[in-house]
Amino acid sequence: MDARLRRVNKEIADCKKDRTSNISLELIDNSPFHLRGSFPGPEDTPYQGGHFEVDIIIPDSYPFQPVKMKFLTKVYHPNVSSASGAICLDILKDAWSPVLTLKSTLISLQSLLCSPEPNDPQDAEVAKHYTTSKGSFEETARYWTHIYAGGPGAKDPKGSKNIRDEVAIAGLENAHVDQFEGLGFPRNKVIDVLRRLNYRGANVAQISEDRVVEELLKS
Amino acid sequence: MTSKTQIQRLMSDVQDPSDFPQQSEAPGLRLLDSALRCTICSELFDGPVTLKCGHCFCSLCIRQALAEKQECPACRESDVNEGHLRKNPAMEEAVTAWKECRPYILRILDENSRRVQVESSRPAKRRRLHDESGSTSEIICVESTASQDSSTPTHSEQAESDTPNSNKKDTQSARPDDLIDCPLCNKRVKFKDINRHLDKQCRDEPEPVRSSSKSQWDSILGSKSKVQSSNKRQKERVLPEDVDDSLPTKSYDTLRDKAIRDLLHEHDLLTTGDRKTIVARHQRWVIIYNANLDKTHKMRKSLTSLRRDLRDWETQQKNKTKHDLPDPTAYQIQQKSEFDMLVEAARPKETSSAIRQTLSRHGQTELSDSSRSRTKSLSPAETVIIVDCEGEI
Repeated sequence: MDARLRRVNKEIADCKKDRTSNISLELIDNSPFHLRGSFPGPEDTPYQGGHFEVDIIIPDSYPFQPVKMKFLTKVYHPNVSSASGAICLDILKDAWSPVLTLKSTLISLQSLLCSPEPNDPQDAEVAKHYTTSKGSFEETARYWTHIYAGGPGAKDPKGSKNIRDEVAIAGLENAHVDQFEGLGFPRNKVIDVLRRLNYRGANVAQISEDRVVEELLKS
Repeated sequence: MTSKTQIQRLMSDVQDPSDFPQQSEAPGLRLLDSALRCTICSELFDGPVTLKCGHCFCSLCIRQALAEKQECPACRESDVNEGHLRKNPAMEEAVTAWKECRPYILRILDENSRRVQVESSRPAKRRRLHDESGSTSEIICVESTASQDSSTPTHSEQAESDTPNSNKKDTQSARPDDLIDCPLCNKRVKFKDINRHLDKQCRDEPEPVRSSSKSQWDSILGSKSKVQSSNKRQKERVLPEDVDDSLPTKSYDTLRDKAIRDLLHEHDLLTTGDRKTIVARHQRWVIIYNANLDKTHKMRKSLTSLRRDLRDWETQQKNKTKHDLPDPTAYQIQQKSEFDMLVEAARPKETSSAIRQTLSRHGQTELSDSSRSRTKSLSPAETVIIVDCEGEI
């Protein structure tokens, strides 16, 4: 049996036996080289209470090349693409070391959720949101955790699990969206433009309404 | 369902530190087992070598890792290369010993836990079970000592070096013609005669000293010279394989195909295949050859088995890369229509408004990046399905 398979077997077994880390691994299809890992969102973060799943592909030259990981669960985080789940983390790229394991890498992802690195973003818009207004960012992240990762509800319970509030998902304020919708633009277009312009928090004062309307007319 | 059984099947073959009970039950055993394992392959060290920072790995593992990146995998000390590797024979010895006693300790632990079970449940029925386990254990025990003999110092060496007061060992390992000390009179008596000697209360005719010492010397010299000659013979046989010089790494870019084939030919390796194949083959050969040299002599593999390893490795590589496209341009032309659709889908400005709206209504940030990266990995059919799903959301 080749060394890669032996090592992966041990790693799966190790995760099964370890009850303290709360990290689980399971096969997606019949290949032991395509796995699904999952871990709970770290406490005292907007991701608390969520259950995050990660797609894991083990390359041929593992452990000498890094594993390929991406989030299957949608995550609102500067270093995770909000659309594709792609992850920006050094150990998944050039800082990989063959002594790292699937478990330790998943734990690193968990701690990435604790400490976002907006200066090296994967998702530029989320990173902008994070740097402009951390409070608003956290609210959105909490909302995403609630909607996509099965986390506890956001602070206003009006949005039940089934009805997804697009404004909240985009991390915008209803008042702003309503304001431009009132000018006669379609709602989804308004959300799109406001999100792109990062029309949040302190930024609102800096972006003139004319600028927004201009963008709305352009798109 | 299938995946579950597969995992069980996979796990049944796994040997790792968790085979031992927890720290509280059997202090140190788990730690010992994991300390003797390479952190790269998580197997017990095979030809352990140490880097200048002191971290230890299997020679083969660290050589492969250094080929990717020149740093210590454990502490990331930079600027390390294969020249910094130092053999660690002490560790190798420890691992060899641990490999030998690992099953033995596991068996003892197993018996112990079973005994605890037996004591806590009905004794009559379980005693038989206990006996059974006892008898099987004896068999295993014999096997394990037998295998021990082959790797520990030979009997003759032991007999020479043993002190007279290690009586028990002497009687165990003595052959009928060996001379041993009589426990009563301390005379040297042949092992086969010791009982008669004791029955006569040490008053039998002692063996003529001269002849005994002569025969003793003879046997020693004889056996020694025999050992020497056999060693010599062995060395002669092994000599061509027993060169201690490691192979240098080559810069293949400066070498013509012919030169690389010559390098392979030097070691009796296959010289077929294109440039990429023969370079990979030679690189791998250098790694496994040098890794083999990091083991102590008796643990080394023969060149023939190294060649077999290389062949196995190559077939594995072939299996892994069989999805490679033989002709990328032809594939590109053939799939052009699909690529065009993907490119279309990846450009938000030029996509149909329907797709863009579903995407944007869904609150996608980073539209261009997201849809591009997403569609890249999907066939057009899948893309459509995903867009549909999101539409429902």
